[in-house]
Amino acid sequence: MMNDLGTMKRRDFLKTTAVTAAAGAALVGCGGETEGPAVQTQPTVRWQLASSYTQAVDILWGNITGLAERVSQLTDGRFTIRPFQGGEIVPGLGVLDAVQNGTVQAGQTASYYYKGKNPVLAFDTAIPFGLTPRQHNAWMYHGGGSDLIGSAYADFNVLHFPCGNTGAQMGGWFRREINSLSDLRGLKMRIPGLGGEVMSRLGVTVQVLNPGEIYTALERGALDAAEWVGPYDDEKLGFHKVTRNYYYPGWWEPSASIALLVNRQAYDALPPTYQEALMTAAAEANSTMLARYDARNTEALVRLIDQGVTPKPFPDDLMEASLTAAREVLDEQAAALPEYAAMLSAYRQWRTESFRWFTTAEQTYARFLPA
Amino acid sequence: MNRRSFLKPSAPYIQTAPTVRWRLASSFSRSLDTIYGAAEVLAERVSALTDGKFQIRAYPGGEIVPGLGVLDAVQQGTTQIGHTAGYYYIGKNPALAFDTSVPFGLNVHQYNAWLQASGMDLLRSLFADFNVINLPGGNTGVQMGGWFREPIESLSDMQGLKMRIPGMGGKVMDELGVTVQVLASGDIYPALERGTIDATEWTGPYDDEKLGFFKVAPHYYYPGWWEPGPGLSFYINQQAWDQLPSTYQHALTAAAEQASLDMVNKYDAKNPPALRRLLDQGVQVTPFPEDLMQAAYETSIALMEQEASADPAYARIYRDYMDWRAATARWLGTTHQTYANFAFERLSV
Repeated sequence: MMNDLGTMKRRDFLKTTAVTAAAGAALVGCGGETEGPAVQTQPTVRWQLASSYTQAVDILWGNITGLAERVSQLTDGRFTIRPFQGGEIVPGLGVLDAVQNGTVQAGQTASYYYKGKNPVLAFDTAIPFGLTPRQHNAWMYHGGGSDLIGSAYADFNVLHFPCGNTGAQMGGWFRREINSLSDLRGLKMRIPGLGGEVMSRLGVTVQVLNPGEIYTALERGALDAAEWVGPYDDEKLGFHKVTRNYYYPGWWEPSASIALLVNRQAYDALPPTYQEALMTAAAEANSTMLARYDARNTEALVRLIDQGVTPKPFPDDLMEASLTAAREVLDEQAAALPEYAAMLSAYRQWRTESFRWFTTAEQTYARFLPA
Repeated sequence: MNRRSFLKPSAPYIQTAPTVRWRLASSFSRSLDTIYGAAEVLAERVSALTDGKFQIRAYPGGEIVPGLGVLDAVQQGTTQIGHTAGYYYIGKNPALAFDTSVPFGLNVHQYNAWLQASGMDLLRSLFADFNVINLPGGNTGVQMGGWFREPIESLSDMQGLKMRIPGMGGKVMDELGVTVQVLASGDIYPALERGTIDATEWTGPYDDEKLGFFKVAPHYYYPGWWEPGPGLSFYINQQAWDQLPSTYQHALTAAAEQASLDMVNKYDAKNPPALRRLLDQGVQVTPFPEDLMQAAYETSIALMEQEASADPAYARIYRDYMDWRAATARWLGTTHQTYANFAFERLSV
C-alpha cells in the first residue's frame, strides 16, 4: 500500500510538471503520441569493471567496451562503466574475487576459471561434449540454466549474466600430424581446464602457459601442440608460422559462454532502470559477440588456408576415446559433489533432447549446404 | 565541459524525458506465440529501459493493419513500428527476400554473421526507399519440411502432390511438379484431414504440434530448405525514429537485439520437447530424399539467377549473400559441423 501511494504521488507530480513544461512541445503525427517532457531525477553512477581479457583478443575486449558504451547510451550518460584489461587493476583470473569483495562492481570473465572454487561453475562456460551456442543460450534463458548458475554464484555475493560466446572453438595446432589416438601419447600440449583433464587421460602431458608464452614454446618444440580459440584469434598469435596442422573440433569447447559478473550490493544500489539497462546490454552483447566471431573466423580461415594451413578433423578413435574419458571425468566429479551431480543430470537431460532436435532440420540442412 | 562538471557531483540531477506512445503492427497472430511474442518482449524491454516513458503497444496481424500490410503501414506512418518479414513484400522489391530468407540460404549463424559483415548495410539501403529503418526481430531456425499423408521416397513421389506451401518455396515446388496451394492457417488442418491437400508445411515441432497435423499426416519431413533460418525484422518509420530522443533510439536498438536473440532461444527451448512428444505419438521423422534435395537446390538457384539477371539491385545483394554463404559454410563446416556430426547422434539416445 505504501508503495502504491508513493507511486501515485510521484506520478501526479510528473503529470503536472509535464503539462507546464510541455506547452509548446506538441509532437503528434508520425512520431506517435508524445506527452513529455517529464522531470525526473537519476543519479550519476560510475563503476569499474575488471576483465579477464586484454585488447589482444579484440572481439572479447570489444564486447565489454561495447556493453559499457550501450549502458551509458541507455542512461543518457549517467551510468558509466569503465572496463580494465586483465592485469591492469586485477589479475585476469582474479575477477571473481574482485567482484565478490567489491574491489570492482563488475567483471567480464569465463566462469570455468573458477571451478577450483566450485566445479559447478564450469557449466556456465563449456564442458567437453556440451551444448552448442544456440543450445546453451536456450538452456540459460529458457531451460533453467540461469537459475542453476545463479544459485552457484549467490554463494559468492555475485549476480551473473551471459554476455558473449566465442562459438565452437578449434582443436588446436600440432607440430606433427595426428593420425590416430596413439599419436597423442606423450605429446606436450597446452590445454587448460576440463579439456586438459580429459587429454591427460588420453596420455597427453598437459601444460598450462600464458598466451604470451605459447608461441615461443611451440616454435622451440617445448610444446608439441597448443589450443587457443579459433582462426581469428589464433592467426594473430602466429601459430600457423610454426605448423600447418590445424585440427578440429575443439570438443572441450563446443561453445564458450562469457559471463558478466556483478557485485550484489552494487547491483541492489542501482535504480531499476539502470539494472534493466545492464540486463539488456548484456543480452545484446551476447548476441553480437557470436555473430562477430562467426564473421571474423570465416574471413580468417580463408586467409589461413591461403597461407598453406590444412584444417583437419581429429581421427575417429581419438574422438571416441575423448568422449569416453570426458564422461568419466564428469561422472567422477558428480560422485564427489551432490550439487555437481544435480547440475550434470539437468544438463545432460537438456542436451539429449536438444541434440535430438538439432540432428533433424538444422544438422541435415547444414550438411547439405554446399561450401 | 559545463555539462560534465554538472554531472560530477553524485547527487541526483534533473533530466527531462518525454512520454512517447507508439503502435506496433505485427504480421503475426497471437497463436504463433513465439514469433508474435517478440513484439511484446520488445515493448516490455523498451518500457523497462525508459522507466515506462516510451510505450509500445503491439497489435496482432489484422487488428489495425492486415498481416501483409505492415510495410505499407510503417512507410506511411499509420503505425510507427511493425514486426514482419521482408519476404512478404517481394512484389514491391524482390531483393527484400534477403531480409528474411531464400531457398538454400543462410542458417541462423550465417545470417547473423552476414548482418555484422555486410548484410545490415545492404538491407538498410533497401529499406531507405521505403522510409524505413530495419532492426533484427528474431529467427525461427531451420524450419521443418512439413507433414505428408504418404511417405515420400523419391522426387517422383512429389509429382501431382497437392501441398500447401506459400512464397518462394512454393515456386520451387511448382517447378518440381507439385500442385501448390495457399491456404490460411485455420483452413490447413481440415483440408489435410479430408485429403483436399496431401501435404503442408508450417514451422517446426512446437508450432506444428498445436495445429494437430500429426493426427492426419504422420510423415514429418526435414529440412525446410526454403526457410533455413528466416529472419524476422522490426521496421520503424524514419520520421518517427528521427523524433525520438537518442536515449530512446538506443533503447529500441538494444531491445530489438535482445528480443531477436530471445526468439531463437525460445524456439530452441520449445522445439526439442515438442519433437519428443511427436515421436512418442508415432510420428515418422525423416529426411527428404537426396534426389529431391538436389533437384530443389538446382531449381532454387536457377530461379534466383534468373531474377538476378533481370534486376541489377537484386543481383548485387544476391551475390553478396551467396558469397557469404560459401565462405561461412567453409568455417562452419570445420569445427561446428564436425562436432555436430559426431556428438548429436551419439548423445541424443
